[in-house]
Amino acid sequence: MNLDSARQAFIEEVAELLQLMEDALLALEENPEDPESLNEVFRAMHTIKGTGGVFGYTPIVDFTHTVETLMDAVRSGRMALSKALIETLFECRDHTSALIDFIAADKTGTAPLSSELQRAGDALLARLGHAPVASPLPVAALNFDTPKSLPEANDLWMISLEFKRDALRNGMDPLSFLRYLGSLGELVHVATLFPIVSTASEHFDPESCYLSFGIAFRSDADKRTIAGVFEFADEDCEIRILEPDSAHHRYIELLETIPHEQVDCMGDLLVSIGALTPFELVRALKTQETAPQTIDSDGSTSKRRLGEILVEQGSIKPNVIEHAVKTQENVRAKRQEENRVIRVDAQRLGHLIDLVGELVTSSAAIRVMVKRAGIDNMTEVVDGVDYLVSEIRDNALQLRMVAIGESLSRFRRVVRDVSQELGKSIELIITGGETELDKTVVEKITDPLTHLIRNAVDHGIEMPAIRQAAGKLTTGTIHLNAYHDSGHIVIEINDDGAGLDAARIRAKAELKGLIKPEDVLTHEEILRLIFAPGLSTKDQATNLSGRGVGMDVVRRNIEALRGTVELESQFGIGTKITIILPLTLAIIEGFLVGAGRDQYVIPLSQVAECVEMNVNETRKHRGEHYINLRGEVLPFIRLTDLFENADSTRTVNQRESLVVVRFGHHKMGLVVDTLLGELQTVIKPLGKLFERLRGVAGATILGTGDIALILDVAELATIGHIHRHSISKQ
Amino acid sequence: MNVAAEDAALVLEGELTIYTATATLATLRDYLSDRKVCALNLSAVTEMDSAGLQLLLWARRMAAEQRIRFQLVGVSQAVVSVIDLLQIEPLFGGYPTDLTVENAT
Amino acid sequence: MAKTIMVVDDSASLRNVVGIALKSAGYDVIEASDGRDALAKLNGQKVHLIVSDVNMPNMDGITLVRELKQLPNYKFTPIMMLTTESQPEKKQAARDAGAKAWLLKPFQPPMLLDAVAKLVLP
Repeated sequence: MNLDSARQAFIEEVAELLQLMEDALLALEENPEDPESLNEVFRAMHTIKGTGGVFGYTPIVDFTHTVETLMDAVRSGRMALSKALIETLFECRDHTSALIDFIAADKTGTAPLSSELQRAGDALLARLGHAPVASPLPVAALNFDTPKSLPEANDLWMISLEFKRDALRNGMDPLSFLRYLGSLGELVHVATLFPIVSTASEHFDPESCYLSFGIAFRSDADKRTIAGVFEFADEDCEIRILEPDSAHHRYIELLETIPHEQVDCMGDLLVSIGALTPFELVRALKTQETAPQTIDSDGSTSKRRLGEILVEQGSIKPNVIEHAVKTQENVRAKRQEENRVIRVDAQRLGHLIDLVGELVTSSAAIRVMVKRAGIDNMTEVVDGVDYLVSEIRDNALQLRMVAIGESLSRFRRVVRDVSQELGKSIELIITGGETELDKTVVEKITDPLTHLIRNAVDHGIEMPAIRQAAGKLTTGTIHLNAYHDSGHIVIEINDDGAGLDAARIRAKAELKGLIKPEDVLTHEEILRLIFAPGLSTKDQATNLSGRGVGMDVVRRNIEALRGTVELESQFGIGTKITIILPLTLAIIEGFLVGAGRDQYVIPLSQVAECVEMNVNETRKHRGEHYINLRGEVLPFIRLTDLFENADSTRTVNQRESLVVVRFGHHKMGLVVDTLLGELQTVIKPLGKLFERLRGVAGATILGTGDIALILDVAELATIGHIHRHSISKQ
Repeated sequence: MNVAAEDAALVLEGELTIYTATATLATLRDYLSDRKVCALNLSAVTEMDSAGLQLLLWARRMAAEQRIRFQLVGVSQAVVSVIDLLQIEPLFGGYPTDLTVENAT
Repeated sequence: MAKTIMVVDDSASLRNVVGIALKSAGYDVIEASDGRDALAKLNGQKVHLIVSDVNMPNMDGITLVRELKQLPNYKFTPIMMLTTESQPEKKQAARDAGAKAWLLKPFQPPMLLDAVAKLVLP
């Protein structure tokens, strides 16, 4: 991996981490004490700092370090997470993102930070600095009556010594140990506990030892050395040593750098980083051995967890154990993942998929050749190859499939920010995040989706007061849902807001001259007018959603992906927008038809059925053709009419076929001359020259070497509509 | 051990260790049985260990139970080093101000 | 007041080295060549720590510990045994008798001083 691709990987990794951080911050808004989320924010900053440092991105290291330190204080309970602080953390996240953008843009990697960024960062850091960083626990507050739960001080070792009755008789003088301890550092605070409360009623043997000590100790010595002070007292004293947070940091850093092969045994792991002394480990293991085994619900017995015992015995702080457990789990997971996951350059993958596409075409060519040559005994071989090619194709496409969830969860931030700005209360529900689709589709759908969601927040959901007056819950709901449906992915955006005012849309459309007052339009048709260019129903456009130019752009973007967008809305109740997209853009399962002198491919997923064309059942109404299909009135288009390529050699009486296609909730018929069967084919874009050609999504080269046009059914339907409108205007 | 008047100080001398603990405890019980104040003069203590410390803590508690004042009217270096090590000077009402700390060694 | 340490070992050279180390660290040192010699030399005088070998002629270290635990002037005095890795059963016997500290042979003088200081500072 060269430095450039490493850098690219870093930038991508940071984007992921920042997304996680954002999710965590959003969760913290709900529950400011959620330890998982606090950790997530800390970890994001910690990791970015660490990796940024490897690349020498000092501004990133400096900035994330401050945030990391702050998060550590929050995480360990030394600082409260206020709403204002969460807000600032959001900004810190954005600033980190801006820093990364700056690095991504700077190819040399040496440009000094722009003064604007520098200032923004400084301002944020100043705000963090002014946040009330709580002082470490005052040592005077230490309570040694319950030494089981030692208080934790910031940069001090906490040592608890409970001497047993025989200690003095065994020649073990606590004062000697304390004096020696004093030679290793500073006894910042010593609490002496002498538990005889009543001299009258309690027996006091002057040769027995009753003393316990709690010591706040400042020293650079390691845990092993400090524990060594009391090595002779181990039989005569309960010793607990808790490392200071500063050491705790070191342990966690060590935990993160430890070679993977060393993490198998928790105890050894902790001893190897110095968080635990061998004696403490042995003591805990003994306890574990003698502890009664618990019987699990499944009937198996299990020993008490070592970590639990260690914490109980005061050998180690719970968060170090947590970290160790996490390290263990991470490494185990990573080991498995290393076997499971390989990162591949998207371009290479794209190239592979292109090649697979060519293979599909070639394989089709072979089939045709074999058929033409009449080599019967090769058919079986060709079938086998076909099968393998289709398997390869499916698997290759699967490689580029990603769950849509991650991109959908980005919208939490959009909803949060926009609703906060507008003073609305909105809950975003996301379901179906596990639904997979092609990464290239995911990338291209983000913008249109963002627009639609902003619209829902901006125009859809009403202000709380208005909602209350309308008898709705003050908190509005936007439901994002994704699922697979017959080779497509369906994304629904459902809001329980104001809905679309059909009357107003119509009025506006008339005003703009999009329709005539005398035009008869169904409810759906009126609603669809919002996809027409230049129509905004909001009199005063906000800066949040588009200024009325948005919806037609959204529609065009979605259609460019061979997708469709549907709209349902009831005034006062809500709006539902349904986007239907192909799972992939690279290959299409098509149905090949012949019409006139040419061949066309209709996306197979849109083909409902093929029937014989019965000319007696057709009607022509206001210039549009309809056919009575089993009692249902179906509009149809004759392809040879549309493309004006009728084959003059064809006799009028020759039979035609009707291919019934569906798009969204609509159906229409396409009249063709011949049905040629199913095929898989690679889509080739038509190129600039033909980009204005409507009704055609692309072209493909057939096995015969001929070119076939791939029809865009939704667009064909619109052509039909325009056709109709232009007729009705006459 | 000089026990003069009701408010006279008890002088403890020499080792204040586990070897003398049983005897010293008896002395302290005796001293505290009829007192208006518990005043201990430790200026001649040559050595003090944890057992000695426990005796002081015990005496202080007993004085508190009897609601009489507990004070150290003299401390030797050996005693001071323990009190300083454990930071328990406030426990014993501070060092005597009228007496300089005598070095008992 | 300097603390007094008794060193019991049948090797004169070892006593010599240990004695020099302890004295330079500020302790007073009494040397004895075996258990019986140790008991004789103690003779009621105050010592703060007894450092003793295990295997010695006349009276071995473990017997010495048992004897000391019977003497009013020494029963509470800390005892550190000098043991070797190969004698775990001796170490346990010394522990049971009442010696709670030990130092593995061979040792360097600084190690001895460290171990001693944990029990008695000069």
